[in-house]
Amino acid sequence: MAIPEDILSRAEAENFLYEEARLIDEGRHEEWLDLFAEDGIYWLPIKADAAPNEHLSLIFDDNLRREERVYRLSQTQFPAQSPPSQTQHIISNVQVRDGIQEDLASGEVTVYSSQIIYEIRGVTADDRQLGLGDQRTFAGRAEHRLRQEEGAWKISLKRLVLLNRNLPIPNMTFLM
Amino acid sequence: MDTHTPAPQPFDPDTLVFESPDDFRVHGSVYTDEQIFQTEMRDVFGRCWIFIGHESEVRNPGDFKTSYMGLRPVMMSRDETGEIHVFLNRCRHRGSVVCREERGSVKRFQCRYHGWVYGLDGSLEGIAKHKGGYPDDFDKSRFGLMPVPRVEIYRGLVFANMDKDAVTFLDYLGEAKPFLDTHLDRAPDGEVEVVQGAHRTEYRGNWKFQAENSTDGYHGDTVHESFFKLVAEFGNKGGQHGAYTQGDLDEIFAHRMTGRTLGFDNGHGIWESPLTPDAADNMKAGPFADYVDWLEEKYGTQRMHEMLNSMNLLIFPSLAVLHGQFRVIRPISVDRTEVAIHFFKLKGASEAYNDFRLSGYQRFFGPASFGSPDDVEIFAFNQTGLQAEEVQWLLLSRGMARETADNMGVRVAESTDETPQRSFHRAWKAHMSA
Repeated sequence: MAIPEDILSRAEAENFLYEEARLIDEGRHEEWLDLFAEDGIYWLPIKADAAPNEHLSLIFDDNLRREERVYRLSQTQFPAQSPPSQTQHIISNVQVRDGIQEDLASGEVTVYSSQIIYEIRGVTADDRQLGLGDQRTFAGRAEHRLRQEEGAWKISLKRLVLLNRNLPIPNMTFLM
Repeated sequence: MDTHTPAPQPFDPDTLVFESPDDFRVHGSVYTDEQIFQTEMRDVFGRCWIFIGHESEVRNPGDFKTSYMGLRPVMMSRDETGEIHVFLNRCRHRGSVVCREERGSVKRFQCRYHGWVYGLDGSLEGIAKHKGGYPDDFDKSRFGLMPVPRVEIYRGLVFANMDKDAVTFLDYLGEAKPFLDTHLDRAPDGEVEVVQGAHRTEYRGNWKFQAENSTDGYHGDTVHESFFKLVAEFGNKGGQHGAYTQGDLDEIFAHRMTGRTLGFDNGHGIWESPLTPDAADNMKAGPFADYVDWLEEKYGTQRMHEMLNSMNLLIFPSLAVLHGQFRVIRPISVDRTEVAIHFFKLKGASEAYNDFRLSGYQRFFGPASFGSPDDVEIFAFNQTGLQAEEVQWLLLSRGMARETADNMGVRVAESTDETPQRSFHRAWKAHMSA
């Protein structure tokens, strides 16, 4: 088996993560969708090591659920995103690993990163109203499993384990 | 409780909830006044049956879970004999909480301050450095963790009441009982099992906004319009119970006008919405036909349809049972509330069907879902708006003219009517006046 760095260097992995973060932070939701493989999973567990059907998750999106999520963000108006969230991702501690799971499909690499996500309810919010004046911080460890499809890296799994995953979270209706 | 000294009451509950045959109003201070909030914590959360948790959350001897009855920290434990106890989470020595973890498993509880040790049944087992500090014959039996005076378990749901003279839980539930039973009867084994982890949210608003909203059929078309557009666009493959439905937005909105609301004595309420007429047939043609066949065989065709309805039950004051969940409302202060949603599996149903239910649940409920965050957002709108105190009243009169009462005194009206909310506030007034 190839050494992971031969498949995907850390610099390449960083570029991939930075690009994903840019698409989210700039509100380019449709382009973010295209980063995922057809069978890709976008997962924010509440219990880090639990099966997604044995423990609630904050997010467990397959392809259809992810499309619905982006449709709702892009094509509809709803209270939790009126005014909309703005985010800023900070990404660090990037490591490229071959899979740690035996079920890792051949040719996939795993990229770990530390992520800090700042979120506020946009420049149009009346921040004097209850619920709108906070800048919120989410910190967590991300695992991206990446696979090459037609010359491009696609996400087969994005798993983000937040530090505050057990605490009350009023509104995470933006992309993480 | 008889140990309380009543606080002076500068407010009169009779003036805060106003009712005439064609008018029903609640005063804004009911949601904003600190004195009223403190009285609620004593008189509503101190006299009503409060949901502590489900037996499946403390499955084995030594398992415990902490909870709250209003502001009171409490803990539920299962002792060596399998009996479930609910105590105040407060050391009898100097008042520290005894248990700092939300759940876990222990052999005994030890206060972290001076080390007093309590058994799983709450008895005081040991006092650190007892000798010389206290008389040798110090009566430890008087200083066990204080039990909540009344605990009743109904089909696995653990309720507790601070009022030792309270009516039984089933008397309290009254005519709402069949609706709680329906949620539990959906399980082929007749019981449910809480999935670990909770969806927790918090909002900057009064606790009653979530209680009212849980049976509100009027807000959906505005607050959840985005969700219904999504359902129109993508279909309802992940929808209720596994019944695939597809309609355009107009059809969805028209269907939402079907159904009904109910209001009960003691403040409980129901919002109920039937599946579309073809939904059960679609379900029979889908991957979970075995489940709906089982329902029909056991309960008959008409009852099968009823059991597939969307049905939100509020058990006054702070538990909602809907869409496979126990939703627990925890007041923190007059303008701050936590809501914890516990999803439950239907025991005896297939793993695939329970997974499907979980997926449908997570589509609408939870902090990143397509439904409940929009409700939570509104509650902060409410609290902000109520600071304009010159507008004194909130109007809860919708549907009064078409509301009827059956021979058991249950009030029934249309799906968008404020019948359950009126019942809630009648009970609220009664408790606050008592």
